[in-house]
Amino acid sequence: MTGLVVAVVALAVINLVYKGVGPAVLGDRLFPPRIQEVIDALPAALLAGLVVVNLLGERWGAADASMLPGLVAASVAWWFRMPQLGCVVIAVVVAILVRLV
Amino acid sequence: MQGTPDGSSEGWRGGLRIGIGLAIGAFALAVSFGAFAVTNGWPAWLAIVMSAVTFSGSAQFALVTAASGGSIVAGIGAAALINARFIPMGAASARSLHGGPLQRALEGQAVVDGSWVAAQNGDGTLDRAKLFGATLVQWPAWIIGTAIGALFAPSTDFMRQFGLDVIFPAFFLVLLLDALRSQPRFVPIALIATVIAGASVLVVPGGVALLLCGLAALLAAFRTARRLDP
Repeated sequence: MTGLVVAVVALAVINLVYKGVGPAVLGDRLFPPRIQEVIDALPAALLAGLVVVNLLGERWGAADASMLPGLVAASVAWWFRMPQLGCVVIAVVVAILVRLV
Repeated sequence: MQGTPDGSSEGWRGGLRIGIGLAIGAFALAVSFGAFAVTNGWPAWLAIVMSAVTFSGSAQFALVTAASGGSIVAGIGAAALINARFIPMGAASARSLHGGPLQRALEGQAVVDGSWVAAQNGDGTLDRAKLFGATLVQWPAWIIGTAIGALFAPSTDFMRQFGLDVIFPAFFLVLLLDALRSQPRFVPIALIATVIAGASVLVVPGGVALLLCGLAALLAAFRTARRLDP
């Protein structure tokens, strides 16, 4: 419990510093290109990780095939340039239908 | 392309209008975050506090995922990596914000993904009033959504039956696809991260698996080095 509180405070402080440091210190200066490129690449790498970890769960314990049709439907909706929220709604509707069958 | 004059009511109105759309999405996501946190053993009040002080879905989700596996430090690490994008986003906003270092650091707190994208003027500057307006609407939606999800904590069966467990993976998948559409050069990195995640989550907690995925991003540095030294 104490650990969780510390984690929440730590995350809040990290966020505060992240968002504040650029405006306060950097001004118009830019990062070296290599560092910038790694920072740019982090969201793609971690989002891919989040999808997989969330789908499979630890030791693949949460792997649930009934989620896949919903995710495929969301990808198709995305391909047709539907907004993010619309894609998620489609995934939910498809998941409900698949589990009804 | 010129945006609205800074601080104008038009900028605020535009921001509030866009913020409402973003807030609906944030609200739905927050409900499922609140429920997710409580079903993973977090007290409801702490989940709500976290939403109020962090306001970042992917980082909060990563922290809860990792902490439920018993590795709080890895969770903080993963969340910190995920949110590292706020450093360049904040830096890019610097010249559009007002006042001295302290005030600009404070104003920089308004940077969240949706608002930051919506406030871009298209010439490297951003519409400060629009940024504030859009964030101002989303923040309460994020907190209230978390509270509803955490306090009414639906059961896992309920979540499954109504497809609510699909919200997070679907949301992250769409965010990932969006990121790759705008930056196709990161497709190999995302694929490598997928493999790392699938293999590592078999043996290590989720937060550690996420941290390992971050390693894939380092490949971008090598590629940049190659491009810079032909």
